[in-house]
Amino acid sequence: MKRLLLVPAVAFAAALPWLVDDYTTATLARLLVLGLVGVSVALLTGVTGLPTLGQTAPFAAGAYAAAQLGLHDVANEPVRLLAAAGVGAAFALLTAPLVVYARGVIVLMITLAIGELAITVASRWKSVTGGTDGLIAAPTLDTDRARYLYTLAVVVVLVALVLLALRSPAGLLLRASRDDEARMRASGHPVTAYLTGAYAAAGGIAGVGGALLVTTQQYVSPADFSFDTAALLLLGVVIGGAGSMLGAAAGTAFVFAARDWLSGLLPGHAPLLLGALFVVTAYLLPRGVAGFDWRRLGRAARAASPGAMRRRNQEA
Amino acid sequence: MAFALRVDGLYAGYHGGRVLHGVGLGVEAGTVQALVGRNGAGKTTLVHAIAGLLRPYSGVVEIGGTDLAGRPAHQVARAGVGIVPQGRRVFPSLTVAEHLKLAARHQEGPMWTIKGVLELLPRLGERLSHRGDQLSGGEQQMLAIARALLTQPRVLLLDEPSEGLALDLAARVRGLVADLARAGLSLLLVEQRLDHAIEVADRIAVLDYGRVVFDAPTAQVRADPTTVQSLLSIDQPLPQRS
Repeated sequence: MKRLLLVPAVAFAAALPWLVDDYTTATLARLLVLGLVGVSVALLTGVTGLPTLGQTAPFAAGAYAAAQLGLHDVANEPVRLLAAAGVGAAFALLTAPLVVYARGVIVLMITLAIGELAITVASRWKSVTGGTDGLIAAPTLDTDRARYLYTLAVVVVLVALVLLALRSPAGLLLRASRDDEARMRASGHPVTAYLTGAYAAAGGIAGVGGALLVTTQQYVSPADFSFDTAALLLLGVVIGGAGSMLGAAAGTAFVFAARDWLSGLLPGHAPLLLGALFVVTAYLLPRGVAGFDWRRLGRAARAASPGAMRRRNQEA
Repeated sequence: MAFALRVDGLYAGYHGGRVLHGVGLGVEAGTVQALVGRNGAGKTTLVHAIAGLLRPYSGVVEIGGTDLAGRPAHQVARAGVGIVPQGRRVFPSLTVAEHLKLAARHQEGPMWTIKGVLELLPRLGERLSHRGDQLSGGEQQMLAIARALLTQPRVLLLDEPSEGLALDLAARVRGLVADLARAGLSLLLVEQRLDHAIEVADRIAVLDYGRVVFDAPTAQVRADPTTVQSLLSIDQPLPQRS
């Protein structure tokens, strides 16, 4: 049923550029990108049990790789995507030994440090990143509508691939490793190798997100990968549901949209309201919106309806 | 005398502290070696050190003549050591079918197949679509044993498999242990209860303060249980065999 709902949802998303103005179309494209990076965060946080604040690092690596290719007159978008995916995955493989042997809060601290170090390097390595001034990438697609549709297509394909992978034996291995790592090791499974693979895959996805960011906003700077972005990505994933890729993508897009909308409506108060939303979600929906058993709520509502209460009274 | 598993001079512990003080123990091929001991004697530490879940400080853990001491757990498992851990520890979010599929992965030329395991433990066949956390304690124990068998072990380590089970289920687990030994598997059975160990084991060893302080054939213990009973501080007489 859920899968059937996805088809009209994607069709509606594809029709949106004809329903809204160019500015909104560009904003939606950016939200799609952040939703994709949210999927990479959920893959690590919800599926493999490695909660992360550092996915902004491969996100940045992919973005700068794509921007550099643009500056060197590589206008082919798929080539930029593949290069960004490769750079994001390579960055993740490089940092994997620091991450995959740690667990829980330690992973958060290490990934936070990796993210902050990446921003520092991006700010100072002017010859490659343009420093704090950033890099301007020449547009490869002419209109906001084209850029949005291209981003939507890539995000849909990539999320579908992630969902397929999670339904395969690879997804089973990751879920089991998260549930009981020692048990998996004792069953002959090299858990560290599995976690390294998942971490590299998440890095590749974030790298693709970076390339799409360059495509949509034609500009990249360290401000795009700040700690705020990392924290909001994790917040969006927790609110949407870390165990659900679609929930995480929607949650991330929602959080960034809410931040931008609230910052216009209530200047300076957006972080406070998002923090309150996080606390409420953590208490009421500990597994996120997607992880909540909505059928149970429906059953409870039906049980509390006047008709059901009348029937119970009659039976009594 | 051919040992399927031989432990010699094994020192192990946690954070630099010693729990095992030069343990020496062997499991002869196709037999059940029971290991009994009081709480805190080091039984689970020994099982973890053998299975590679705990890196020993020194000593030998020989499987089929190859020393595997200090090797990672997945390598020890692939070398033929299966483990049924204390407390079952099934994966709560995986179904029974997924547990079996996962355990049967990576193993070539299997002695145990999913079909064969389900014939041995038919109850699991009725619960294939149930998640680990939806099973009863007995079913979880059966699943833990099935999962271990599908890794094609030559030696199976069972860490208090009847702990927390109703009497009839505990008896069924002991029956299963005897069946596995008859099928040619070598088993190290960790037990707290001496009467349970006597029922199925070929030899019984006592671990006390991290040392093997007694090791003899079960027949000898059955004839004169007082030595083992005194080591375990048991006052009651053993139940008579029916």
